[in-house]
Amino acid sequence: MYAVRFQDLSFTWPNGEALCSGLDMVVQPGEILALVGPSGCGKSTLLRLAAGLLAPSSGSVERPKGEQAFVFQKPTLLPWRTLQENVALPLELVGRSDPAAVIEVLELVGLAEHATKLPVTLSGGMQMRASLARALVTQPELVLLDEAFSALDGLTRRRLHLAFLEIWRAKGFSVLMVTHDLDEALWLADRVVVLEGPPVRLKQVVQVELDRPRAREQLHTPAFGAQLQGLERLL
Amino acid sequence: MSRALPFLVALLVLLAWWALSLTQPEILLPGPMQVLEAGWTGRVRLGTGLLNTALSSLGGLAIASGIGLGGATLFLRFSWLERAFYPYALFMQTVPIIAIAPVLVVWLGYGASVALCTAAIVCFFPILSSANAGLSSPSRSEVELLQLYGASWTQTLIKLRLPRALPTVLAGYRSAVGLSVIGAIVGEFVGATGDPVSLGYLVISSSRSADTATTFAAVCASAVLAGILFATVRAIEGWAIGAWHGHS
Repeated sequence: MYAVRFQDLSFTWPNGEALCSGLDMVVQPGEILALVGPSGCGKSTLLRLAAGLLAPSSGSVERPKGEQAFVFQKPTLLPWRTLQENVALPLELVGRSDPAAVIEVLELVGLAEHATKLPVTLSGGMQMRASLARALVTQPELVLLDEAFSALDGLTRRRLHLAFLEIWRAKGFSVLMVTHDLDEALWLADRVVVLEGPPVRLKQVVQVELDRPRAREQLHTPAFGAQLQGLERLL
Repeated sequence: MSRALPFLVALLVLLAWWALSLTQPEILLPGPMQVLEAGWTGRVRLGTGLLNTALSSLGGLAIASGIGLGGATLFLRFSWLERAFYPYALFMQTVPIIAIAPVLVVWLGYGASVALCTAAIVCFFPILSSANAGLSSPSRSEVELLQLYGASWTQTLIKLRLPRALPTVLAGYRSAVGLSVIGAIVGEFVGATGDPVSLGYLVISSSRSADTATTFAAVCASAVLAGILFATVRAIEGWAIGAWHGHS
């Protein structure tokens, strides 16, 4: 069983430059897997391959049938649509209308009272939460996060981490995330894959040794500090 | 204070015009009061002329919109069409309209259809180029978002590209409306018979009979027409995109 499996994956850009060659990686069902690595090593492109936005040159990206969602670095809300219209977009595109589901996910991210507002009237953190709500409205089994929290200030980021972990625990979807923030990778993920490149290669897979549910206090424990140092050494 | 500045400038220009007109014979430079008087005396012809020129401008705008917006959508769908035709659209923009107008008279005969065509020709390019740029303006993430949820080309056009294009297209229309008035008047210079009367015809006929005050009144009326069309586009911008554009 897997949520995503890269098998002998190779991808070459049109200019002939190879992103990866013969890459194998598995995201287990229900786990949070974080990809970290130096800038420009190809983390985000791997995520786009996992999403099916790019097709592999050879090898395969396998996903069981089921909904998937992608959360971008920026909220990517359509500014002319209200929050509820933005959240309803994925349903609308497949000809579905489910106002109750829209309100439910907005409640989940704490934005139900802002449902009829335009994105420009909300803070960056609220817009990111709305973007998360849009990802969750289709009840995805796999959520792909492309540096989804990186544009937020520290405090908002921590709050959104907690909210995200709570939703993940309740819904049980799998997560493949890209981040450049090692703290974030350790705090959210079950496993952290350290990448090197380009061309991108797996350098090491680190099992995160922190209990779940995670709490803010764990960030200050010696165990967290030791794992963080270990990760920093790998990069 | 900053709001009053344009009015202050207008007042200064009027004063300068009035002062200068005192030093010149009326046939060369009539004063503001003489122009007003000529406008009032010929108000029926001026009003009818304004209406007919407005119809030609708006008709030209409608034709240019159909071809410009339709062309930009086709360019988006079939990139080879853009590569094949866009350079010629750009070339059309560089050909002086005053040189084309006599040819249009040969083809279409005298009448309002020449003004309609010249108006359409001059405002076609700003509409095409702004729609072309606007439809390509969504970010990569926005396009990928719709792609991820399986949106068709038509869904992406309607739900993303068209609303995203609105600010750019409306900015294009701000230029296009003024040009459509210029285009219509140039067409009327060459092709109008005076029946029905139009602003271009009034300018030409009054200047030939040395009625400079009426010429000025007709020129002012054409400026008023362009101003009204411009203000209408601004109002549409405020209504259609004011709530979300320019904030983020």
